[in-house]
Amino acid sequence: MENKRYSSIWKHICLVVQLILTVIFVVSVFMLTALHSKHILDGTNLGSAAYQDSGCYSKLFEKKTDELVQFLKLRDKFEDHGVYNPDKIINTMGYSQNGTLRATSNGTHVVVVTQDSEGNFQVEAQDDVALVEGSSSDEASDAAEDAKQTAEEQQKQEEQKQKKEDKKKLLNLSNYRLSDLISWSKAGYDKQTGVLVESYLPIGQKSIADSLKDGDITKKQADSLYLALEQTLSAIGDEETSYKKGLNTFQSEETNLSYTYSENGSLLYSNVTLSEDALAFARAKGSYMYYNDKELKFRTNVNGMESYFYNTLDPLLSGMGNHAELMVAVDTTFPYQDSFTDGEKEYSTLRPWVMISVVALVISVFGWIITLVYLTNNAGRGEKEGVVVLSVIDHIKTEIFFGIFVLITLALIGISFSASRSSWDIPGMLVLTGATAFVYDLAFLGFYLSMVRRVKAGVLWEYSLLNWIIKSTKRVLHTWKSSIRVIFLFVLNVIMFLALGYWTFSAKSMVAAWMLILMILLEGALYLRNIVQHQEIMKGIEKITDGNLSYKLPLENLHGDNCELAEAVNSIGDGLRHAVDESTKNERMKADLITNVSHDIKTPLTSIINYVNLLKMERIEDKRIAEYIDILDEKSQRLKQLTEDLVEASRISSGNITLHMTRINLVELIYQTGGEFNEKFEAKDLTTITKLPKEAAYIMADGRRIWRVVENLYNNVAKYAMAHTRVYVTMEKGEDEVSFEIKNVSEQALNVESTDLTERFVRGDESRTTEGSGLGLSIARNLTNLMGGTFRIDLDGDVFTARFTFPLAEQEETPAS
Amino acid sequence: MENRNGEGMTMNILVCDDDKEIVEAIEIYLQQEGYHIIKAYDGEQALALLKENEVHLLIIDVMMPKLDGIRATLKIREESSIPIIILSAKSEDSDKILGLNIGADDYITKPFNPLELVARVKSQLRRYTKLGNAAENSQAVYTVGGLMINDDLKEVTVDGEVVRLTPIEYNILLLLVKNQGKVFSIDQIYENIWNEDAIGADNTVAVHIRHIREKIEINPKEPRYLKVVWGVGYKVEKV
Repeated sequence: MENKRYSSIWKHICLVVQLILTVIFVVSVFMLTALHSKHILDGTNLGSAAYQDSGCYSKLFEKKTDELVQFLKLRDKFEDHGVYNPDKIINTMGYSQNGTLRATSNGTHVVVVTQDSEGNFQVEAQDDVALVEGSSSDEASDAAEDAKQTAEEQQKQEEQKQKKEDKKKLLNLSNYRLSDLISWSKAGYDKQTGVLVESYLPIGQKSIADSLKDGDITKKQADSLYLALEQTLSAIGDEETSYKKGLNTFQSEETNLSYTYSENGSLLYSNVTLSEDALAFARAKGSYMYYNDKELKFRTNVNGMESYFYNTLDPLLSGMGNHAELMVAVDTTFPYQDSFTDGEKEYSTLRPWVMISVVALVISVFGWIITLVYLTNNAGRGEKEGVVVLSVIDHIKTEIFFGIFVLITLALIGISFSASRSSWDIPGMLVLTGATAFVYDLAFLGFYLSMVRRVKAGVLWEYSLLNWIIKSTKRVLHTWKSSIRVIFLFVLNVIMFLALGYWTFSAKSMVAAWMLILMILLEGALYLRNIVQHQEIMKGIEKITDGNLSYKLPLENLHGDNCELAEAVNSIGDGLRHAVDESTKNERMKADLITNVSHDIKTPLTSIINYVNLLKMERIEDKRIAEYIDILDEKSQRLKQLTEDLVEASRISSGNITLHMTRINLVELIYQTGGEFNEKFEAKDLTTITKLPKEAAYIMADGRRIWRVVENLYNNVAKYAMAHTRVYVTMEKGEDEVSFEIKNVSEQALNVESTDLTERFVRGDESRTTEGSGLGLSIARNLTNLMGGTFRIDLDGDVFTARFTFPLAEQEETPAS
Repeated sequence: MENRNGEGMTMNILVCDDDKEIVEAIEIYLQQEGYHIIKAYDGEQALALLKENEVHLLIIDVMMPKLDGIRATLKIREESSIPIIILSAKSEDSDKILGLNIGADDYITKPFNPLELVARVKSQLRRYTKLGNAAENSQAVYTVGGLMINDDLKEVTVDGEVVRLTPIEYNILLLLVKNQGKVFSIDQIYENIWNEDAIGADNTVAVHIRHIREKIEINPKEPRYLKVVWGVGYKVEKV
């Protein structure tokens, strides 16, 4: 008892621990995810690692290098000879198309803008010049070609020249001063009726609008000029800002990052002055990256930098110039306060949480499993051993309960998704995750433990909705008449069959075909089962009919109507057995009673007989007295006979006798009987006509009992046959049975039914004045039946016929002696 | 008339029954035959009287107070071999078999024929007193219990009394006594006696047998010597 209460407390503690562990688990998982996303945790270094070797340092290095390359590109745009030049000429066409103003390797659309000594700008498309030159040399070598072709060539050249002229004109019209573009971009640009308002003019030119108006350029050319200008304006402002930021970051004195960038061996950009080889300098700094395009050399000691470089930075760099050489180095003593030191600070703060989270994760997983096992084990355990205690929620239908659980799950998943979309900082996310985990584990435990209790109590199926539906349907079907039920099931069956058939053949659905086959097989199986059960019941009924009244039909394998039928058969068998037992018992009791009464009668009867006999021995003169004494003698003898017959009859009819079955020659027996009754018959002048088989007729019987049967029949004749008549004794031996018949003419008119004659105390004459107890035929019939024979009596007018039949015993020449 | 044993002594018969009238009736019948009667009304009394008197035969009832006939018989048989006749209202075969098995010499059911009782008493006493000196030297003498056939004289005696039989009856009885224990069918008897084949056998043999029984048996319906094996034949039981 105390132990149980103790365990109940334990259960609740366990439950709380479980909930806490769940929260810890989810929170630690979340922590690890967050740390991983910050690159503080990566797969390679779980244990403590130096900042420079950590993933987040690599990422920062990558990011800074990326920013540097972007910055270098901006320096290219906004600087001349390493110095910011606000008067730099920007060609919008070039700017908008590839964002750079320097010659590139592919050479197309490249414009070289030079400023001569007078300050005039010379703009040249160098590649186009080269193309023209190439064409002219072609012209010279092919002078011998025919005139027509030359004319075509000339025409082509004319067209190309025209194109070149147009391009040159456009390029001239798209040159702006850098400071103009920046202030224009920052001030914002307007449009009037879809056309850009030109606040600034191209260098040394009239406005695009004027050029269009004057017919210097076509509308199409003007449009492309406007587009380029607009694109440039939209980007240049931001880029200028980025450039300035870059200046602060990279060109500041107080930075931990040093870099040099050279092209073709000449230093282009840097924030340090090198007194030695760039690579050696970088190595000395601690953490570095070095790339030399000319020598195809790449060196770094930063994790993952190489792949990042080739995947991301190399394409950017290659867009800048030929034979680039880039060195980036970070002083790992971090002498200056910058993003690297910030990163280091964060790293050292968050790094211990990796181990804490991992440990918490492992502990919570194991603890969770252990507590779950404990709770599973103890679910539903109440005060009594072996009795499962169900709580209120366990009575909710299983499917509904499952549905509620699924809904809660879906709701929580939805909440988590919407939460993950909105931006939270780590502590906020931790609280949210923890709370969600708590709620979900509570729901899970509620559902899971309820299911465990149901399984333990064995009511999982009983409390299910499906079970309820099936049971209700069965109950409804059961209340219907069986005929209606059969019709209903038949119609349902036909509808299903037709529907599946239609589906199978018209829609050619494989699913329907399989269902149809399944249905046919299922019904076949059910039908077979029904037949088998029916046969079992028939067999059982046969057994009961054959007299095995204690036989019981096994009900385990029977279903539905068959089960009910079997139950009914069993109860009928029970009733029969009960009735038979009862009547056998009654017969026995009656027999015992009769026997006891007879014993009590016999003692005084003995005295009567003895003293009557003594009286007879006296010399009595008076004839009347002698006559009275004779009557007394006769009646006392009859009383004696009656009591003896009564005992025997009751014993025989209750079956309370032992039979000693031997082989009996019935022919011999009849001769023997004839000898016994010879004189009795002669006294009444009865002539016996005997017709017996010549050979022996053996039957199995108890010799004394069969003699009693025949004796009773002969006695019957001797008592009741009319004097001076013939008595016919006939025996017929058949294939496998022998029948004996004795026929006589009755002295009295027989006014009773033949069947009544074999009942006890029934005699042909109802006056009961003649000798005989009225038990003879009853005893004969019962003995015959007990020995396996049949006995019948026929009355035809005054002709009385008694007949018994026995099966023949197997032939054996040595009869038992 | 006094019935005496070999030394001329009056024979003492102890009659034991809890019904006084029966005891008295038996006394009357047996006194007429010259026997001296000692009366007892329960088993214990009978045992006591047996010790006090020289008793030659005991007639005892089964159902009695104090000590019933069966137990009394058992006790008596421990030290005495006098003839005991059980007299009982129990007429079942099993009762008779029980009585005879525990040492009784005869079993008579109530209500009994007094003359039959007297005959049986005589028979028992003759056998008891003449035992040992009955054997005669003639080879043509056959005995079965109290039944004796002297083939030289063609004489049959039962318990010393001569019985008159017809020649055929005599031959049948002789055949059965000579072959004690063997069962003869009607046909076999016919062939042996008439020396011809039994064609169309009839009641003849059975009638003769009944006649013999009526002459040699005290109660022909419960024969002691010539027994009917129903449906098989007849035999004289070995004693």
